[in-house]
Amino acid sequence: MQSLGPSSALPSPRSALRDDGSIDPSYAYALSDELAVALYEHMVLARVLDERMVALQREGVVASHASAVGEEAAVVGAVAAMHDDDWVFPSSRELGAALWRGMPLAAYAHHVHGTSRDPAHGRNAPDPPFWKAARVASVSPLVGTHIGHAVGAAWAARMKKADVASLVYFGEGATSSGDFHTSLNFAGVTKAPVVAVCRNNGWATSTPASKQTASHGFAVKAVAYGLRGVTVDGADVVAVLGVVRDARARAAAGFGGTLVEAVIPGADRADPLARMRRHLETRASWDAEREKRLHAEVAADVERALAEAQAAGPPARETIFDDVYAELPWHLREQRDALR
Amino acid sequence: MARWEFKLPDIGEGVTEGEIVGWLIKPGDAVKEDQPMIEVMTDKATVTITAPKSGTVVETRGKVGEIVPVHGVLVVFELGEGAGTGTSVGAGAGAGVGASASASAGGHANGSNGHARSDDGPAATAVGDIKESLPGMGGGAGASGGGGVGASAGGGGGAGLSAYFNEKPLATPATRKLARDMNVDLRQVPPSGPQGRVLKKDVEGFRPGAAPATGSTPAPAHPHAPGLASAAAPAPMPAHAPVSIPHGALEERVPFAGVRRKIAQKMAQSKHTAAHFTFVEECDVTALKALRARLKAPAEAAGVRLSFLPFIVKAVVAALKKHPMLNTTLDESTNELVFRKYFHIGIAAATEAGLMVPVVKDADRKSVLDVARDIDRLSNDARSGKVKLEDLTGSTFTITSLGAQGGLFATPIINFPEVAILGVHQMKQRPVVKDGQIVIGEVMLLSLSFDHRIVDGHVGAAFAYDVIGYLENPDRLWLEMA
Amino acid sequence: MTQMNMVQAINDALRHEMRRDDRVVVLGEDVGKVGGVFRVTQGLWDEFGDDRVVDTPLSEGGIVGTAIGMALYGLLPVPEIQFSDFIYPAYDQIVSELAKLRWRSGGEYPAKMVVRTPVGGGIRGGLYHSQSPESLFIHVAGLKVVCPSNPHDAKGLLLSSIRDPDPVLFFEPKRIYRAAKGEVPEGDYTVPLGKAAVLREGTDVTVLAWGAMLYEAVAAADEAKKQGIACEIVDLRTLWPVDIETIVASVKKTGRLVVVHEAPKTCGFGAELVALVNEKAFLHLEAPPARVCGFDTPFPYTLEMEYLPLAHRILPAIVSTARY
Repeated sequence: MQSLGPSSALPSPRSALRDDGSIDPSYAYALSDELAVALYEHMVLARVLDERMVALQREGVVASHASAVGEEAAVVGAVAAMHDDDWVFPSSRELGAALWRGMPLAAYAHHVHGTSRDPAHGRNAPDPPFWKAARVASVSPLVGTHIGHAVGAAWAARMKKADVASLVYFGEGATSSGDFHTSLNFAGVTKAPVVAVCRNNGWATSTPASKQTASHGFAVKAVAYGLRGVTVDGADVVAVLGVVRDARARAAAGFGGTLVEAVIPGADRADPLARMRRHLETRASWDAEREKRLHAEVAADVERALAEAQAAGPPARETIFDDVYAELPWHLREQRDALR
Repeated sequence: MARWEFKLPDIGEGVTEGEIVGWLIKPGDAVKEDQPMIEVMTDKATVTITAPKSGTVVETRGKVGEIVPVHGVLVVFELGEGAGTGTSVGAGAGAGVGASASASAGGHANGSNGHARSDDGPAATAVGDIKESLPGMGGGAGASGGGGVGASAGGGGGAGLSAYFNEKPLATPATRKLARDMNVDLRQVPPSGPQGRVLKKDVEGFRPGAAPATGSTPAPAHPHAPGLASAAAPAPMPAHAPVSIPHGALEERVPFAGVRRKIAQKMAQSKHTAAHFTFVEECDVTALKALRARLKAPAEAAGVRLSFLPFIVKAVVAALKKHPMLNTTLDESTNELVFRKYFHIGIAAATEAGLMVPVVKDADRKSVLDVARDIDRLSNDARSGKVKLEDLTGSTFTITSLGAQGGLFATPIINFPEVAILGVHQMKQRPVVKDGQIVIGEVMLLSLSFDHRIVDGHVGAAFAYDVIGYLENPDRLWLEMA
Repeated sequence: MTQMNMVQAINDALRHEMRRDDRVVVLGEDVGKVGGVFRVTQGLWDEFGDDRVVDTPLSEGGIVGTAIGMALYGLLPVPEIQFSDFIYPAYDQIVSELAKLRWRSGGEYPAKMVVRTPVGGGIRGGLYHSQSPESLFIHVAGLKVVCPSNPHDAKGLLLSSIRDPDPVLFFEPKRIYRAAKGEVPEGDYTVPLGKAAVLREGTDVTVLAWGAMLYEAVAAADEAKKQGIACEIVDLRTLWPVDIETIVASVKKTGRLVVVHEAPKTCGFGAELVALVNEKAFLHLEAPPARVCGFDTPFPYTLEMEYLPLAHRILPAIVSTARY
């Protein structure tokens, strides 16, 4: 009997990396050794750091951590596709994006520990970090509120006729928020050059994707806003890189934004790091020795950064009152002075 | 013709001000001597003040509800021909040369006339409240609990009383600041503003000593003292130190003021001065109950609801005559013992405003019915806040009816400067031994406290046994009848 | 000097600043071609075009959310929320994002904008076109809140607001958009933020008001003067950070305080003003501070003049405070 309801089958996500480690011949971009290694190294760095943070959170050293283990390809592949002066608006899980943009490990360590050298002065939740020097924006842990910021920044660039775009990340749960709808609607109307990457790992905390939406996946939602919607294999960093490069080029050409649904396979599916390593191993540039050295270096770097942060003290009490306004108004001065 | 200002007299007892309850005269009236002029409520009672002289009213000062300080001008008279330009007359001040000074100091104005009141007026005596179910204090028989005196008093002037019985001065913050800057104790400043508020001009015009120094109102611990603010400045606290907040919300601070404070002062004065000795004995009231039952109907025919208290008053008077030492007072200023040959019996009464002791005057010359009438009237007045000052002063001996919740016995505190007080407890059926048999007896306990400085133990006991004798054999009261 | 009403003065300020600073962008519902429902932005689109005067989709959250992104990028957005009653969909963006960005980023990502929005009742707007939500923003750390009462201040305060480094909620009292007229200097001038104006000096009662209610306060003060009561009327102009020095100095002089505002009384800004005066001028008070406010009800359509704290309600408060 033929089903009269919508098909539950998702559009097949686009992949680039094949099981043997080779890149699908239809892939549009050349991938240099240097970039391939950098992608892999940053995925490893993000993974090691993420796992270390999970441990620190469980030890009670940091209050919270939003892990993106298994989603490194979506995070690193997307940011790697953007230009250096493009804006990046992470959600809570994309520390890998800031690392790609050059945020020092120590800065992240200070941030998550809320030390006096935390760029946020210990004021915001441990995740996500921001990195002003590379246009990684400060976002709140609220879900979806930053999507409009990304659209606005992209829109501003368009107004100023600058070749600057925005990349914004969020989990599939955010697609249920009003901000998602509102912001992508604005993006569609204004043709703002924005690439919105929805990491669909099938779960928003405890809620399955089937309870977030009744649509055929999430990319399809783009249609309603006049955006382009694509799905991509979220464990395939090369595929993500290609899809986002496409999206950015399209936006820069004035055709507007793209909603990229990065479908993260379940835990039983191939690990994004393993898939990329397999590809590297097809190149002469990678071997077991380099693999070993990378892990040793990353582990040492992470521990050094964490040790530095853990040795630093908390911000001075009076700093609570700084930066509420550009200048300290009288009422905050009174409150600060009373604290002294 | 001369102008003459009538000022609110110092009526003693630490009264520093009065609230105008009502005017009985108006400008232009021709007023005769002793004509009622104004009703003033002090923190003791509402008094009707009469004109000390004849004359024409030029001006009345103060509206109903306003607070007038003692010595504040109430009425301006144009005196008639021949009327002297006498001194300002007040009930307490006229009691003799030099009395005005000593009276204000809280001493005993030892008046030249025989009935001179003590300046120490009625005050604290009893340990417990008088319930309306108790002898003498009226009310429905057997009623208890919620229908107490305090509750019923609310129907009268209760609200006004409680508002007035608050010695925390009312003033705006600005006025308080001014007083603090001028080092003036606001409570000493006669208020002229609405609702008894002290105004700035009151503070500015205030001279210490201008208002009566209330000897019985010692200044408490400087609530308005300058320097308090700086003294209260907390020492810097180390960061994250646990903050100890003493009790915090678990305490509420209520001004200890008004009648309550007066009661406290009187209680303490009595307890600190008199050497209290309490003697307790039981009394078989079978015959008394029978007598009251017999007389109830004829009394009602005369319009009197007869309780036991009039009999007790008469029994006390009869016993006082036999033991005059218990009707004395000690004049410590002259080291003389004053034997009173009149018998004014105070009846301690609980009211919403606090403990009051209305007085049955000349109880020795009154019949049981008359005493009952007096008690009825006084208790009604006390409850409604209309009791007159004269009804609250001058007792020579006090009875406190402790009633249903008075306990087995108590140790009443003497209504100083009297020398004895009789506590009357609930009548109960108890097993008693009569002729070798245990039978049901009607028993009441009496607690007699007396000042052992003046009254020896055997004298007090003899007095108590005489009271008991009269109550157990009320027929004998006939023999004592004047 | 030109005679202008509030609408013209605000328009003049926007035009002036857009000419002076090409970062300034106006966006909102119907602000472009038609010039806004109150015509405050009229003519700006003609002069500055689509890229600087933008008709947005109908979503206040989207307007403020995207404006935050513009501000991060480096523009200076001046979004208009068509009625302050419609600002609640943007409340999350204003409170959670706009107000906190500078602080949460350690000063690195300030998001500067001026949110303009008509406020208050008296135009037969009914429940959803009449509210005065200023205290909801005063309560939020990181925002400045401004409410002009006349054309001169409207232009000067708006220019200051745009040039101020912090996000500003600029409430425009719509009841006097056209009714309030006055001389407005041409060209550049500013009225400083955080400075109240003593509109009328007096010795007896300090009356604090702002926006449209200032005129009611003046009318009540005129009546009070006939009864011998000299009111000192203070136009707060900037609601937050409020000019505490002027307020305290005035109350120290008069000893008496009446606060007037359209917003509901409970937890309205008047409550904060009274608390501040109690903290800072307590010993100077001759009477309990009074508040004359909107009622703690929604804003009524038919009975709007009953709801508003008009002069006939202010006068008794002045008199009873003065005569306390």
